[in-house]
Amino acid sequence: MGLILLLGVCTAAGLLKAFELKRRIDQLKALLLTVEQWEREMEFSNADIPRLMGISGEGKDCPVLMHLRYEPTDRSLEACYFRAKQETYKEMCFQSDDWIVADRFFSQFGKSGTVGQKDFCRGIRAQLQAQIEQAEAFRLRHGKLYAAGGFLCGMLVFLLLI
Amino acid sequence: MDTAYASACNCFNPRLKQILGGLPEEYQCLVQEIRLKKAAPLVLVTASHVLYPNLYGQPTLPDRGVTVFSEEIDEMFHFLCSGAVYSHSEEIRKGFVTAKGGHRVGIVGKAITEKGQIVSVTQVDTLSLRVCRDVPGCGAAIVSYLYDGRRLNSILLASPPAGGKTTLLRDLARTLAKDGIRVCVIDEREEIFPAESGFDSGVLCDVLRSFPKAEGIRRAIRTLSPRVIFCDEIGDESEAAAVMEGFHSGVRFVLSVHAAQKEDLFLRPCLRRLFSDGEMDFAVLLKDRHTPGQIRQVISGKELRNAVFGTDSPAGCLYGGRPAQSL
Repeated sequence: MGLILLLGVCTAAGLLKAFELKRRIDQLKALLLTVEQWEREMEFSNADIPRLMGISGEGKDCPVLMHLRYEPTDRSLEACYFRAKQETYKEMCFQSDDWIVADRFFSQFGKSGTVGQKDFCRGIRAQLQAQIEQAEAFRLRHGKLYAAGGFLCGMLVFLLLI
Repeated sequence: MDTAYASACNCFNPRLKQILGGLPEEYQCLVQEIRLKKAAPLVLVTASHVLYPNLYGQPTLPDRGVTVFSEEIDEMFHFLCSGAVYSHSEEIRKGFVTAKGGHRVGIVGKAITEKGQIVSVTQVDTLSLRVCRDVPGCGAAIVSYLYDGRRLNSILLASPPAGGKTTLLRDLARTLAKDGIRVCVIDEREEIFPAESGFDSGVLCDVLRSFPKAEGIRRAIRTLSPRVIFCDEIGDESEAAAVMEGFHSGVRFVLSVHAAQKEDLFLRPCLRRLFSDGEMDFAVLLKDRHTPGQIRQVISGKELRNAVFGTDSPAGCLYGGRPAQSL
């Protein structure tokens, strides 16, 4: 019974790891969508940060975006973002490179005029796109490996212990 | 704590807010301006004094005042723009941002120009916040010139900067609106009735926020049928032309301009144009910043016209106004 449980746990761990790869892609895509929406709002409605944060709440796949909110004591987007990041760090599947792009975006957004912001958003979008492509390639290479690896690892332990 | 001062303090970071909050209450209600300059002491300006608060908010000597850090200026600038500098590009281009509560914050930095036009201001190193105060009833002395129960007059309010013109405009607009007169306020800089300020404008008072003055006046005349239009700091020919159009449409105006003395009114071409038609009934000269909102002199329309064109000149003899015989 214990061995079957062990096999189940190993398989689940492998599947979870594979699922994390998919979630990373979804979260990066949600962030990219938010960048696009903010850029559009900036251009067409001149929306300020508190209003933009309302829009980012629609990024259901990305917990850090869901937790972005403007508290009365907050004085910058950067502060809101780092609080949200702290709250959701464990739920996020970002790798260090993804965090660098996200940190850069939320630290710099809104700090220059429209023209500068459009260039900045374009740069961020390109970086996110590259991260998504890299994440998809990684998932293609390693997704099935993790899922099968978990099961095989469990099976190996199962056989050894038998 | 003085309400307007407290609202202005909310624009500052916690450290400066605490210092400003420590200022004795008898000074708080006198503060007209709060100035921040990089690596310089925090300065509070009243009508008669310049104060340098120490760490506890107590006025002290300039060299013992609290120094403002460069990062604090940058942080405050972004905070005033609600984190989105791009959404305040037009205001920044003109050199100010209006903070929550209607406090106008002047921006000093490096201008970015394109083809000779200022497109933005960067490297901000000074912020000067003018505390916006609502003083209901402060225009009582002027109301009699504006409205005698039957006839509405056009009035020009003139004073040096910080003479109380905007506060008077706000109170006069509210007074007329509450007397059942349809009023439009062209609030280009969102200083007269700023959004989220809580200033009561009256049901019959329409406030056109952020509209360029000339465009706002024309739009108000076409779409809102006001009897009186209020406009702050008339300064150029296009605005004067829009006011003239309003006069010819039967609308009365309450305007304000910067002028230290009577003679200054006649030196500016756009004001001469306004006086040429004889539609401006009074010019009210206010005292200087030491006694904001107090009347120094009231000049009648006839006197204004005579000062521009010489004694008993017919109205409209210059600038294409109404010909004398049609008067």
